[in-house]
Amino acid sequence: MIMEEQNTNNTCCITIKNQITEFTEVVKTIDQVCYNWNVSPKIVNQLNLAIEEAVSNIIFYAFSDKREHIISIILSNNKDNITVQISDDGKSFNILEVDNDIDINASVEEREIGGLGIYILKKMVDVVEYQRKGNMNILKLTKKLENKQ
Amino acid sequence: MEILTKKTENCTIVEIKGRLDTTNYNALESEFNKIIDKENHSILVDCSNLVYVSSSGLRVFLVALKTLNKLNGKFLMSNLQDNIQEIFEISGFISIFKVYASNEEALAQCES
Repeated sequence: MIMEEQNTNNTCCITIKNQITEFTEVVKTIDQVCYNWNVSPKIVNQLNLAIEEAVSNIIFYAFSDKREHIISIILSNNKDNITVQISDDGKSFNILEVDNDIDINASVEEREIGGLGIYILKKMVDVVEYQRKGNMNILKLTKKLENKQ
Repeated sequence: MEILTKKTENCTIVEIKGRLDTTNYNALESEFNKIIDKENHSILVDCSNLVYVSSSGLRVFLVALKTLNKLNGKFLMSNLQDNIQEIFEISGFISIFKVYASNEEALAQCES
């Protein structure tokens, strides 16, 4: 497990390898940082969900080789919102182009097993931005903080 | 995550404690499969101590529900905490799962 953290008061950078087992440490770090930033448990839960859905998607689908890759997650506290920038050097994947309109009123038989992750990710944050820069996918998520408008 | 399974006369109660996510969902999937393989077709998932669930966990619930529906079994849930309730509402799971406020209420359904 390689895990780097560069924490300033308002920024936290986590870098992990493309293995799902790394995720346990990511959760611990997010929880700790958000606790330090005094973020409400509800928002912490929503941020955790958005980050897990994004990062697990990268780990499972972004790389066709079997090599080690680094994924970086940068959390920034901007007082009235928190941004999360997730970068990877996997294949180009614009999350905004994914048609994820799942029918939440479908019956059990009609409900598909897959496709929930990206749908949940988009519901958990206020803004989703995507950029392909060189060989990097850069996903930026913005979550507004409650009671601070 | 911890999984505690106990059998009542008509139902198998599976209590999930902690976080259910992409790092551990397969443990829960195996547990459900093991229960169903033993011909126990009524499962109650007690979520009193489930603090987090992501899409990988939701998928495990959906697969179990679909499997048990085909077997004319029952897949019930109880004691959803607020953040779990929220994700069930967002994903529409709240309308396809049978969710009860307590184990007693849910178990009453198993007897009928």
